[in-house]
Amino acid sequence: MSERCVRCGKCNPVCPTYRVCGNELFSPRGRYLLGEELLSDRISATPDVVKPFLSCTDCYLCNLVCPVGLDIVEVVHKVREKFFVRNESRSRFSLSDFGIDYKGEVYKGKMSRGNGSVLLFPGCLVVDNFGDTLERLTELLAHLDIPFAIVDACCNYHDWFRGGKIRSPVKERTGFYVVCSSAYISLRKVAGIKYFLSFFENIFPVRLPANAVFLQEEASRSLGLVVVDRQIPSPGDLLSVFQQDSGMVRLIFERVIRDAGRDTLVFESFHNLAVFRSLFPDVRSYHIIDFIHREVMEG
Amino acid sequence: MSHSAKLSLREIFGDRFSDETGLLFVYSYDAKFERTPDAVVFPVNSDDVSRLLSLATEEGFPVVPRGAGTGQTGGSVPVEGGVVLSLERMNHILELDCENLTLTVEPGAITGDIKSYVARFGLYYPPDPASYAFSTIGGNIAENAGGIHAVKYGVTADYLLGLEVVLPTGEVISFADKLYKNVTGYDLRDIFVGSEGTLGVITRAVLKLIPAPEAYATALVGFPDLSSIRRLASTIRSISASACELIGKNIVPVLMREFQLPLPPETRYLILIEFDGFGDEPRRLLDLMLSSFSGVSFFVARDEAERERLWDIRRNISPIIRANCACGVSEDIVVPPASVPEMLQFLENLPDEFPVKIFSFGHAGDGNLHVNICYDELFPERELEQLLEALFRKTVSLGGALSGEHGVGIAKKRFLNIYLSEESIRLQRKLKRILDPRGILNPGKIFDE
Repeated sequence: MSERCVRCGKCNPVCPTYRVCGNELFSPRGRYLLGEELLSDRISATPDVVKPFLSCTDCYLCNLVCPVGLDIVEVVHKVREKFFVRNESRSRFSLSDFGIDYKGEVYKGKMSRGNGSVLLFPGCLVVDNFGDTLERLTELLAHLDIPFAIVDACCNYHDWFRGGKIRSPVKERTGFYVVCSSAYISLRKVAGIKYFLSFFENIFPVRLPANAVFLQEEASRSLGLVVVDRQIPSPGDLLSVFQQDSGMVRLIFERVIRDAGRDTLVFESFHNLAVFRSLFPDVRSYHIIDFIHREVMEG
Repeated sequence: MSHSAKLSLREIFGDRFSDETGLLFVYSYDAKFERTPDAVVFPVNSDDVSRLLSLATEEGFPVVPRGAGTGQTGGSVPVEGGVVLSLERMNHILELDCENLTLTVEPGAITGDIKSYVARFGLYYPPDPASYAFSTIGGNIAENAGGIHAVKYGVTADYLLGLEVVLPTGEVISFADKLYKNVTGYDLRDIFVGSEGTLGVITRAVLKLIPAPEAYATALVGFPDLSSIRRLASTIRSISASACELIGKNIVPVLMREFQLPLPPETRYLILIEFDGFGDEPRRLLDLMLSSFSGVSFFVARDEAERERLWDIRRNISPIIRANCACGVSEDIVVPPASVPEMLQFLENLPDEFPVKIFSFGHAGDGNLHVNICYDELFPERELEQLLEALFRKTVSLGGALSGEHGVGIAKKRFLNIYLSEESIRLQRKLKRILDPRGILNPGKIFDE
């Protein structure tokens, strides 16, 4: 095993994906040690081994706290580079091997390229944790006769930070609304997503924070829902706060639960919902899409 | 582990069971040791834990509880294979009781989160092992972790009121939640504290809280020789310093250079002393202590920034050791506080006998020393064993023990009989057998069965 990492585990609690998943596989220490094994071919690269490297958010907090100064994120990038090259002809694995674009396949028939379509940009962590909800979102869009497409890739923001070229989907798909069901995790990611979305800016309205807000606001109003995120100060920053101080986030949520006075909570940010569920697994919590879906599909 | 056992686990845990290669790899290690498990499960309540342990006792496969996997002695490493029981998802803070000053938590809660949570209410959970920001409370209880402030506040056991434990045979046992006193029957709760996950799995704990101190007085004291340190131990304990951290001979010159400490060049040992409390009491106590010493030089922090700088010096010890130590082992012996100077003298003489470099530091106030033994790759293992045996024998001869904080695990079990008598080991084995008749819970730790 690694000669450089002292395996102290100091990096784990600052990692947003470890905080949400509670699983060493989605932790910086896990990724670093597993990454070294993969890169030196001591462990063979199967989808289950390589998948965790997609969910790293590149927030770099692990690098900041490492007592021996390891560049943990660099190992993640190297693994991505080796096993997830976007160019199909060079790719050892396609994202579909990891279930990342399976909905693209399932819903291919319902997609259209007409004007006013919706381009769904799920984001890897969301696909991993909220596959069912995403599926309902696509059903809903199809039911409402809103043509849509799914970006079957990650945003490539980490490549962009390293001077790489981001694939531009503009040429393939013009005239879409962009609905980004991923959300902020870190400043770097926000910047990456913004850069990615900037390809569309002159063509149609881009909504940020994304979270399908334009659809959700109207629907939640008509359903009389109180959406938790709008009761929380800076919902977009919640996960960043959680990385540093989960006690603070717990306090915020406790206040929200008390103030809401309801037994079920609704979120519009997948990431806030993930954080909430990790803290309060016994309180009923839903993503707003699930509610809208139920109301629309079941009348 | 049998195929049918895996199938049963899959039935109980669903997608919270895994035997995929990547997952098994990342649950194979702690900070020092490694061995790949056959499967990993993620329980979310004591019922899950109970069903797992009942099945393990029935089928006879090993189960190894694991918090954050930050241990130093292999306590959470599945040395005999089997199932790693990850408590990471049982990480909730369940209840803050401001009337009884208690906090009820699940075992996977990170100790640092607990400390910062209660701090918002002006409360304090004192135990602070070096890993508190990333280790879990369950692991802290299982190792009875101490820390820098143990000299005044004591160790994890001193802040534990209630405990819920699942026995290896699957029974769930609760010990009184919020009682500060209790002499009703045997105190069985405490056998699980420091048992290194071998007697039961902790699924809930009720912690005792105290009001948070509001003022601090901190000083770095330089000592030219060991005899002046000798007088310190009794003074420190009699006036309740909240921290008394010793930095040994080999580390001091590097720190003096790097931090340009305003202390005389003949300084050989450093002690970081802190008092905490309310109002001007900490400063008064610090002045009292400093006035009782002549011939020592010291530097008192004048504000929070300077206090932080002094603690920074303490935090830099481990990186310095790592930079100077290609190969090495780290021990955490404990001796009566007054014997610390004699122990240090022994450690300083060890390199005369063995080709090693020793870096010692630690909690001088409670006698718990971290001894880092560094050597080159060619140093024969046989000689290392001789050195360790000599170290432990000296420790025990001074009335000390092999480990103050890290536990025995697999790292020190071959030396256990230096400290424990045969009768004591026999009794401990008997206790283990009563609670764990098939030896399924964390086998191979502390002693061989």
